Amino acid sequence: MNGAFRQSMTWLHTWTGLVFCWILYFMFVTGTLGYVDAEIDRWMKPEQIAPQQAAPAEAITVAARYLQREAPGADRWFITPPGGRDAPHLRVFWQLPTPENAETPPDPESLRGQELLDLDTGEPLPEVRETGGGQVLYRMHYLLHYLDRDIAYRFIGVVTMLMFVGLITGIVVHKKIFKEFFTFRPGKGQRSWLDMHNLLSVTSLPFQLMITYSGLIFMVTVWMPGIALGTFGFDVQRTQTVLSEAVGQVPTERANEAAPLVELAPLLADAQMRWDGAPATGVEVRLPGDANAEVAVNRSEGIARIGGGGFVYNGVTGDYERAAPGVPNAPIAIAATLIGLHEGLFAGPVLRWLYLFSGLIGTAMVATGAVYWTAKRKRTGVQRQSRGYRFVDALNVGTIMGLPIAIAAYFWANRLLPTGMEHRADWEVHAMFLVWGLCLLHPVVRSTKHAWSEQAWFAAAAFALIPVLNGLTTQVHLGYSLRAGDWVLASFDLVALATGIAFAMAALLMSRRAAGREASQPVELEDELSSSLNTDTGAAVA
Amino acid sequence: MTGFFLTILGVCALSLGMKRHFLQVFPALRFSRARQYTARFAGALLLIAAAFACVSDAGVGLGLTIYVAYLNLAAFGLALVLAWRASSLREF
Amino acid sequence: MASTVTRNERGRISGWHITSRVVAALIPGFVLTNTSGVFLALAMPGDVLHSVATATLLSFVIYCVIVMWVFSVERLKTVWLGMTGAIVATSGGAWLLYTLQSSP
Repeated sequence: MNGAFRQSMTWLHTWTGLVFCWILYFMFVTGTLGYVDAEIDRWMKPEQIAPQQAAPAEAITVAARYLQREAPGADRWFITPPGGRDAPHLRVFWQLPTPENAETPPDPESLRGQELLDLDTGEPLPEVRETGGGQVLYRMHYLLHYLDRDIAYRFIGVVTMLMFVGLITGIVVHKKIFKEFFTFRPGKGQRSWLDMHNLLSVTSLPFQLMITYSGLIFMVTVWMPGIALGTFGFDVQRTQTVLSEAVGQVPTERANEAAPLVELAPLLADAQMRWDGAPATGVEVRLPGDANAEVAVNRSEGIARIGGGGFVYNGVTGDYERAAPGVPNAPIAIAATLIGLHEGLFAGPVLRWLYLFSGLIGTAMVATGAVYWTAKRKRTGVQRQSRGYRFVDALNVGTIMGLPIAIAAYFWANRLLPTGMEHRADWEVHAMFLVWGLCLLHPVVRSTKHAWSEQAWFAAAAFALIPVLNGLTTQVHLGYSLRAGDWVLASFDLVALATGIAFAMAALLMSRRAAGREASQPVELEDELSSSLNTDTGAAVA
Repeated sequence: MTGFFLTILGVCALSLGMKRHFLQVFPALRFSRARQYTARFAGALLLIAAAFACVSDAGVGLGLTIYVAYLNLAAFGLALVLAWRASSLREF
Repeated sequence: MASTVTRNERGRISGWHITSRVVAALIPGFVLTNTSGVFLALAMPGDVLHSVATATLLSFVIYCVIVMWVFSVERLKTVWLGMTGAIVATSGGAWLLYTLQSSP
């Protein structure tokens, strides 16, 4: 490869990587936590009743009774029977029709509803502690919380594209991918940072490519609708029809004639027979109560979660109508598989831990890249004085250390805010971002050198004290969870504790290094590196 | 779990097929071409066996996903062990 | 960093050069991704849904290659002329294919 090409690719790698690296870090941390969203939910709702189990047919009957009462005449109902980590309780979702001749189009959110139901009473689970839980936390990685959904999608698309260009140019500029596959040389300053950045990236490359490209596929309708549109001669109507037919979303027309909905349980039994005894994982009722009602019984298994086999029944007579179409062609199957891999819903406990690990590696990859940028420029005094250097340096501390602290604050807020408080769930998030803001300010008023270790100590305390806080404020502390063998709850506290210890070790190394530097001894960069590694690991596990 | 152990053995063997790491682990031995090829061949075989073990355990799609994650964990872990072990050896 | 990206023809570091390339990658680069995607979808034989899905799935790779090209070409003139030429060629080709395919 010629030198000029590699040089320009190095430039591109540096700047596509740096320009939004703090947003990328945020996406990696919150996205990684998404792999344990249900577990975080459980911890953040300590008063919620224990997960319930029931045969799908029984659960569906409870759900249908509730929906008949609360959302008759809806466009669609979705019913998820309880089972597995993702659905500890019976979940119902409904979508009301858009009212015709409305003067102003109503807020789409007001037409949707969602509840978790208690199987014993058939009523919604009481919400003692209003919280966003793990769901709000993980959705931040593509919604950025405070932004309008459309703007967030577009922006996240740009950041993901930069990440993709960063990955590809990273492969191009890395001279010795195989020769230095296992190489990490500690104690060599910027060389060590580059080694670690390379090591993290190269060993996790399949994961990074998968997570980034599938991330882009999520944004396909936002960013790349032009190709489908152009191919169909810019005919919007035709494009929409072809595409929705392809994924089997044939709209059901309303007959505007009332007809009672069929009993759902027998349909589930029929579908279960067709799947050789495997139970349904979801039911969709289209136009309940209308003469044209349809019931789709679905089962998702394997990696790809769309285009899985399902069966459609007549919603009035209960007659079997058709099998839902599978994935129409190879490229769509590839896209579905990538999206399935991104979400990791199929992962069992072992693979879920591995997903967490890969997410952490990605987080550390972004962090080491950002720190390498400053490590490389540290030597030359001129650049060290520059506004750009100080800006990056401060943002590095405030984000790499500050974001984990902010996430700890989110958990603290969940336990400390009064349970009856108005907009409680919103304030949990406000607490998180307020704390992050303070962490960003801290290195500006203090020198970054001190800020690194101070924030590391703070993070250590914030995480290590979470089990204590939990013990003081709830009944589901380690004393209970370990004895009862409730591993989801116990793991949360134990991982928080481990994260705290990891931050403490990092802080210790940083303080020692700072002390060493003041005694004008040679800087032990090995410490710096391993400490940053520990903190990243800690941050994302939490 | 068989898949994971085979993956660890595989990346270890592969790293011993590289001069730098061979000498890190066996500073007293000579890094010969025969040793290089033996290590690399064994590493490749072990990694292929690991892939088969994962696939036979969990099916093609899931098995390969788990295998790739194992590879990531094993390679990263090994690199850290090699770095740590090398510096502790140098102190002797 | 001393590279062709940041320097003008006389080897001086030039902010204008960087801006020009960034703009070229963002706007015409994105347009070219779409025009070449449409061209690819129409040129591919077989089922149209299959072609559209393939081209759309590949679009981010195409865009990535375009961005890398924009930042690796030495002369700015080549970047802009090449970009214009490629957009004209792919959209013209796409228009031709579309007209041929929709007239029986």
